[in-house]
Amino acid sequence: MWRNYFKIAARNISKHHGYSFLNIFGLALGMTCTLMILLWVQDELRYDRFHFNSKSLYRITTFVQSPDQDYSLARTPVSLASAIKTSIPGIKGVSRFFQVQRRSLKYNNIRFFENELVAVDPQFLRMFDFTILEGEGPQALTETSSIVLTEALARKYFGEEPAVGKIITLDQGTKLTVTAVLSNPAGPTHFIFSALIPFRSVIDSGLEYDIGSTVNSPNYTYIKLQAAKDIHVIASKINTVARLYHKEKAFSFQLQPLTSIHLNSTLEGDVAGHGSPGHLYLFSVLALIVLIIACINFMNLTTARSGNRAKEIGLRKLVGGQRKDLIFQFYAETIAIAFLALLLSMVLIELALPFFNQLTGKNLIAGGDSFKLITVGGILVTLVTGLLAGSYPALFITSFKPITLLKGALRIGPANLLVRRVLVVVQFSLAISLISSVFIVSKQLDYMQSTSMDIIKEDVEKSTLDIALRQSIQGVQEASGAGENVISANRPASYNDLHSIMIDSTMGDPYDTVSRIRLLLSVFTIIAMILSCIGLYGLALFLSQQRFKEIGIRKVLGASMAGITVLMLKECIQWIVVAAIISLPVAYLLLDRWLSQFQYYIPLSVWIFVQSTIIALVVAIITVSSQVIRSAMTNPAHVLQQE
Amino acid sequence: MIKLLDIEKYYTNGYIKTYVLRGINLEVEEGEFLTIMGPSGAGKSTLLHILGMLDSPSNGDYLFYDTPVQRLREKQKSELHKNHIGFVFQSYHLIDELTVYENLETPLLYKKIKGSERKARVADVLDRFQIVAKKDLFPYQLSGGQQQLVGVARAVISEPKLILADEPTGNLNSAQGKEIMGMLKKLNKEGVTIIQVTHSEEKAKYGNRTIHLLDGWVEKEDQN
Ligand SMILES: Nc1ncnc2c1ncn2[C@@H]1O[C@H](COP(=O)(O)OP(=O)(O)OP(=O)(O)O)[C@@H](O)[C@H]1O
Ligand SMILES: [Mg+2]
Repeated sequence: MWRNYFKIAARNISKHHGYSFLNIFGLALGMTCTLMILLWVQDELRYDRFHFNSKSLYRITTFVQSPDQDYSLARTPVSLASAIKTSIPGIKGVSRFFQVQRRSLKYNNIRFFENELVAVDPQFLRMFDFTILEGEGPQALTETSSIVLTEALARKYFGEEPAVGKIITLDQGTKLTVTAVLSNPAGPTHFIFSALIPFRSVIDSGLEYDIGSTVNSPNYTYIKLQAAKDIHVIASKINTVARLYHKEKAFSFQLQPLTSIHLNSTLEGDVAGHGSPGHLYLFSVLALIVLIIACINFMNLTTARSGNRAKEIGLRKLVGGQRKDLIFQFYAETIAIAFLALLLSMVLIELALPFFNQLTGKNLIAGGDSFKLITVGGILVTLVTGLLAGSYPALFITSFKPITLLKGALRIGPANLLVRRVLVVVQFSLAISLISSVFIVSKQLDYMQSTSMDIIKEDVEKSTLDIALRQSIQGVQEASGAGENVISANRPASYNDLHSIMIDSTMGDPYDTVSRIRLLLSVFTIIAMILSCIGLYGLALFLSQQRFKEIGIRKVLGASMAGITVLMLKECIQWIVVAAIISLPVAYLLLDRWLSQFQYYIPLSVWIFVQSTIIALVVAIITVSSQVIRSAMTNPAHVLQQE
Repeated sequence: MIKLLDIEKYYTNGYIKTYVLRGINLEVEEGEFLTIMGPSGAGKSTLLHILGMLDSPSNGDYLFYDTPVQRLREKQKSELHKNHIGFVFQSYHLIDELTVYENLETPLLYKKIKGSERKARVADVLDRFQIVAKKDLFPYQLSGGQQQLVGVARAVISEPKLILADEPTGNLNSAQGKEIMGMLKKLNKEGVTIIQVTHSEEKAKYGNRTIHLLDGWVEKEDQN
């Protein structure tokens, strides 16, 4: 029986190969996009979870109460680490993560400026699980003159030679010995660095000027807690220790779980390149929209063809096939075809992932956990699509008496055609909404870039407060006396210093993120548009087949080619205008919600929707024109002969 | 085998009832070869569909081996189709995407007959109908007569007790028609009950009894 089902399915696919190709390829394309976005989402949610102790790792953040507005800073004073290191039980490890600005590294005659040089405490490699590729283990940063490189940086300076033991010159003088090379982290991380040096060497090499600007200096403090310690207790202890030396309550420290830094951080002065729930929301909706469009195509094309199967269903019933056998056969067949699309999409994902990685700046792979996700997600999508698309032949057509089916009384009636038109309208509503989103999101992102300068100015105003904070922390550090000899600032941060720091570490990368988001959105919108056009093309093909005779007769009666063209295009334009009208409120609501997450946002204008509709119309007309022209050029004699 | 009591069939179109069959009383014994005749639109096909349980009467009782058919569920009717009733149509309905062999095999698949026996039975029928050479061809590659032969072969393959044939030779030339009728006659001799619909007096002679329908009524009955 399986062979019988298989043969008939395969022969139907090859008999209508044009339809089948559109059907399978369209679904595969949709699945590819959706699954890749799923990978992206999974990656976003997985930041810093690869550390063995990720649950007990926290970052200390600074909460500042100011007369106009309270705000939180991701950064903490350099001296905080030494103050809390020994005095609070329950804290197992403390490490600073200090972004050293623009230093040069030199080996032999090779000299580069490195932006991602970071000073950390020796504890850093014990707290976080970065895999050592070459060299010493976690003790690699105990010597003041040591340096740990990422694999990429090691290759840059030493090529294929072993890096460990080599001596690198920092700026004009300090000699640093490479003690370890780290391989690519086991998962995504919010930490950005290409080389690690011991915090102590920052002081030794005369970089104290950077330290001087305290909370405005790019220093972050991480702690590792003993298992099951209450973070509120620890946080209040940290504050008690800090307050011992400073009575003013204008600021306090808070703990932020390591794993929530990437996505949920809205703190000021945070490390570059962190994600946002807004983007997660945007792309999840996008994935869903592309998937819905692709599923609609599949359903549309499957049901269009299943009319041809009525006779087969009638005959199978006649020779003893029970309804449940037929239901099973048709579900199995559509699910199997959807499964073919899944296999094709797996190949497409493998091919497209390098480009997708380039677009997203991520390092996604389709293996391991991700493969599991793709497989489970893909099979789920396959089953749902297969079940939805298979329901028309499996449930509807099999419900008729065999004799009705054999008489051919089951024509694709007007009701069926209406369903199909409605589905194409839904597709175009989604496509038009997407095009509008591209415009709105781009405008908003542009707007945010143009206003970012103002935000920097605001930050600078806050710096007055930061200076007060710095002085208080200085007190903490002097009193605690333990740990490093941190030398406090000799000169307060000037406007220009702050400016350059902000630009370097915070403003630089979001620009990149912004253009990435825009590019991604555009790519997926184009794909959604292609998919919608496949749906429209399928409908046009179907309609022109149905109208073959009608058009022949009209021509005999004297209709011109232009007349026929107008007739066919009117239909297409009419439905897209309906789609535009439907999409307007939906897109408006979604975009309004998206925009509302920003403090400053652009107004939504109807013109953007009109613009999007015109684009959709032009693309749709181009899509159906080949079909329309073929119909218009139909030789009437040929049509009537066929009757 | 078959007993029809006061069978009526009408279609309602709005408030108007159009009768297609009225007051049909009919008994068919096992092993009979019955012919139904009558002008176009008389209700012959409708009666045959009711007999084959493809359609249900509006009123009246239908007993098949003393079982009231109107009380059978879809599944039980389908069991009867599978095991007891074979159909042959005027326009040789075969599944277009299956070869001759596969078309013949399909009823046996639904009967869940094992591979080796299935092969033997298909081979046997191919042989009896002399279509062995055509077994791997698709319906569109056959002539009308050959397609109808395959149609009869498919009706026969599940060894039904009753074959219902609606103008089985309607689209065929006389030589092909004779071949099909000869086949049906042979099956009847082997004990299969046959009910055929035809417009041709000549084809009616193959049967042993003929009923004439007119406007839904049984006009007269002849014994051959
Ligand atoms: N679904 C239906 N709705 C309304 N009337 C129907 C329907 N099906 C059949 N009829 C009517 O029932 C009558 C009998 O049809 P039937 O097919 O039984 O005729 P027939 O005797 O087989 O004719 P022919 O020799 O032309 O095949 C016809 O008048 C037909 O119009
Ligand atoms: Mg008839």
